[in-house]
Amino acid sequence: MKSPPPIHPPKWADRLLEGFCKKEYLEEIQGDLYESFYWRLEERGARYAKWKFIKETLLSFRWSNLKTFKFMDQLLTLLKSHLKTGWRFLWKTRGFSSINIIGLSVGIVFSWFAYIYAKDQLSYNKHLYDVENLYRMSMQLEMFGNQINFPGCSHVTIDQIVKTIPEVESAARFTDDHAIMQLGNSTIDQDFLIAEKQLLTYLNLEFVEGDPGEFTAPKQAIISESFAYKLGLRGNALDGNIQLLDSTTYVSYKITGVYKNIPTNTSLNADLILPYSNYLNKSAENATSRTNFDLSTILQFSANSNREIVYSKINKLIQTGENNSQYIANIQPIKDIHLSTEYWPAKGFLPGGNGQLIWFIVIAGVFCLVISIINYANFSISLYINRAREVAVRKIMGSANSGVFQQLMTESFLTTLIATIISIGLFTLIAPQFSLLVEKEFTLSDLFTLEFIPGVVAIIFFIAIISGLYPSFLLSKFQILKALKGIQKIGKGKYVTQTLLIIQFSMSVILICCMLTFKSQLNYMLSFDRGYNVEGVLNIGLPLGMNESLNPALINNLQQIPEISSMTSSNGYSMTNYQDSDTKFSLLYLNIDSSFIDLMGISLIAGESLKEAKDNGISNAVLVNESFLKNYPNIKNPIGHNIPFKQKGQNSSVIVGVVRNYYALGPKGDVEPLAFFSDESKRNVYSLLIKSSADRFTIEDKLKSAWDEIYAPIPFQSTSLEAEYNKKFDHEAKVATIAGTGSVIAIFIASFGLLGLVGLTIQRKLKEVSVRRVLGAGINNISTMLLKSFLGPIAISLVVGLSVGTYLADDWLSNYTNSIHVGWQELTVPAMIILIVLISIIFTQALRVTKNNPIIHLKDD
Amino acid sequence: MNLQLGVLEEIILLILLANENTYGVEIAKEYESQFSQSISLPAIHVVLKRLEKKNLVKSRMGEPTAERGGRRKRIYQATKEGYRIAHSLHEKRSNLWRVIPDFSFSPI
Repeated sequence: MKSPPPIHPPKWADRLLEGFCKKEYLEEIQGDLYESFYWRLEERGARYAKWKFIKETLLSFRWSNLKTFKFMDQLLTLLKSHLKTGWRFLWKTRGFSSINIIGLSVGIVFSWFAYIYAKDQLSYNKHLYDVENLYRMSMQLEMFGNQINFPGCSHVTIDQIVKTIPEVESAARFTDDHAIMQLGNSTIDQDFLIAEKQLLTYLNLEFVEGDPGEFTAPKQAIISESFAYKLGLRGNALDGNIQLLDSTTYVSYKITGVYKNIPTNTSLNADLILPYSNYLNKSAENATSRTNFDLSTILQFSANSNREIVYSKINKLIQTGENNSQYIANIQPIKDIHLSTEYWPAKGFLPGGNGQLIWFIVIAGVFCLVISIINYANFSISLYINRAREVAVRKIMGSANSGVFQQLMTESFLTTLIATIISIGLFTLIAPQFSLLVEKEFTLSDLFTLEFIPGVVAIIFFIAIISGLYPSFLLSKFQILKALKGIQKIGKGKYVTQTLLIIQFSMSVILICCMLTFKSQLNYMLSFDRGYNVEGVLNIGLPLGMNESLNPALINNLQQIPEISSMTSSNGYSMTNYQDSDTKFSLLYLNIDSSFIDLMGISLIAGESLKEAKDNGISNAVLVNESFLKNYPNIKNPIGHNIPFKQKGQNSSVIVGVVRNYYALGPKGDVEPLAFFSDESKRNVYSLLIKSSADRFTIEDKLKSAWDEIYAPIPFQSTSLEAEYNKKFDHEAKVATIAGTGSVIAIFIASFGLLGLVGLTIQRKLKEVSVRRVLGAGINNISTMLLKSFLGPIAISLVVGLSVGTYLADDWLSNYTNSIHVGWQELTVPAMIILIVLISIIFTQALRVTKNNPIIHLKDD
Repeated sequence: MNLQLGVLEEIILLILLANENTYGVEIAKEYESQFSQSISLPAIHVVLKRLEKKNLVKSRMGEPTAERGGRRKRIYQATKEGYRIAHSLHEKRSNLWRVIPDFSFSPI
């Protein structure tokens, strides 16, 4: 027999086993563990044996050999009975319960959408490499009071910054472009990035096929996985080429790498990336200019650098020495770009999100949730009043206050659990509509993330506790005998119910009020008198690389179409800093041809047109708008006045006519000062505008064939100017939709709540109602009686809701230069809706009770 | 007889058939010597319980020993039913083995 070794198994593990293992299994398990411990000790040493002992001890715990503790057993039985009773109660009151559950699940669904949307929007650009230290360069251009943060920089300046400022570790320059690309037998207009290799590092690109190499050879390309799939090149993309149209010939780019798709929550996304040398090769000026700010640039600062110091160093570099520029450089943290409206959109960056939209969705979601929680609490209180007898019997049978409390809380948990499960189903139903609204795909998989389980647990606990706590507390404090005698009424409960009703309806009124304001503002802007008329005007986009001059053959083809009444071409508005002896402002100007003013429906209110002026021998004629003249208060007759506007090599122009103010850039801001001139020799045309008498869809085919004859295979693209104008209000339309949906749901849930409350009030006052009816009261009398008890809280909530709602709406409207005023409509419509809802609910409930024979209710007790 | 046996269940049953009156630690040792692969005791315990439930093994308490700190071991023994099942499984396997053509997989 060996002497017992000095090393023993870990004591705590042993005790754990003794404490929790069933007696009948303990001896065997513990004995085996001990024996193998000493065996392992001899064979493999103490550490191994101990580690094994602990591991096997923990693994030995199975459900079947766990000791049953008395309290656990009791708890389980108690919970079972609570659940059973709770379920019976829910079933018995299934009408009210289903209203409760539906309301709660709708509220939960809305808050979930709010959550995933807000989370997605706030997570933008977090996938970038070293995102905390990445900044976007921008140039602050001063335009006489207008500070514009133009997000770009020149090639040379960035070289200097990286070379001379040690805190700037690296930089990536890039820009975007688009070109016609061959895709099988058809062509598409493909966007792409032209970027330095450093950008690929920032983007954390992961290559599944090939690699970018040095990424300097101009005729190479890298593409995303999904793009490779679209091209039909999955798995063998490296053999493929990308064909991009450059003016008239296709240029081939060899695919050298395929990267995993960039996450969707990014401001920098591209399916196709070409090397930076393509930018430098495009024009000799690109590599040398100091004022060509069209390059987007991301700078990486070293980890411990002080942002302010680097900022001042960059500005010193830009404003002194060989740069000696008047511009101020700004740096914008990459992680703020997506939601910041101060920053202009930049080349290569996707358009930013909208912080306001997030807020509206979150507010609508939270409101819906709160309203449904209130519904639940209200129902519980009112139903519990009806349940007073059950509680009293429970108490007589010996249940303590805590028992009743537990019962009620269990019910509240049960309800919330069912509502949460239903809300997942609702989520899948609504997700497509929601995705459409926010223009981003959301599916169930966005919900089932790591936070889902703790999130669901948190939601269930939060809602169950918030909605069930007060009613449970109230009822558990109930005095038995009084309740049995019917003496005690829950006085406090009534006030709580009414307060909650007020909160609920105030919220609904706020939402309705906001929705109406948004809708009227949207309609106002859409039907705004813009000062011009573009009905029936189509904008035909000309592909890049063809905008030097208009193809006469196309014009000729288009003139053959009888429906076209007139045509004009446009090169888009430009802006300049206009300066005269005693005034300076920023001026929009546009180089037009003779038919532009007519086609756009702009009215000439004084003087003559440019064509007439030209016929009269004035070569430097200019048309100005009313806003322009506002800056010259002293001129009584502007016609014939000379202004220092440069054109055709001359330093001044003559005003020959005045046009009525029109909102060229939409009615969100003021009308900018504007000048028209005509210089046929310098017209780079971006788009062709045609006015037709026919409907867009009937003429589209003719236009397309006229186009294809000349430009095929380049796809024909056209939009109506009216649609382009309406597109400017996408944001407002979305906000109105969200507020609309939110208010419909809110009023829906709240009405259900009210319906339930009225029903419960009738039930509670059944005796009174029956006595009244026996004495000859009709439906009017009973309705009036009910109305009296509900009109008060509803009136208060109308006052609260309307004042808060109009305040919020006014605040929102102050963002617009041209806006409606909150008028009688925004005040009366919510009031009407709420009152109609109230009256119809009371009336139908009263009708229901008057159909019964009142004697039945008077027979018992 | 339509009784399903897991692989581990079958191996432990076979060990029990080979060594009459054995217990947890010895099974573990036997397993490790046969397969040169370690096995955890709780896994063996679970399998033993399962086999016992299926009436393929029976157990009784043995004598206390010093190595176990004076605790008794639970000694397991295969039943006739256990033998029958193991045997029929073996037979079915051999039948299957017999029809496997040697040549196609033989190393030569």
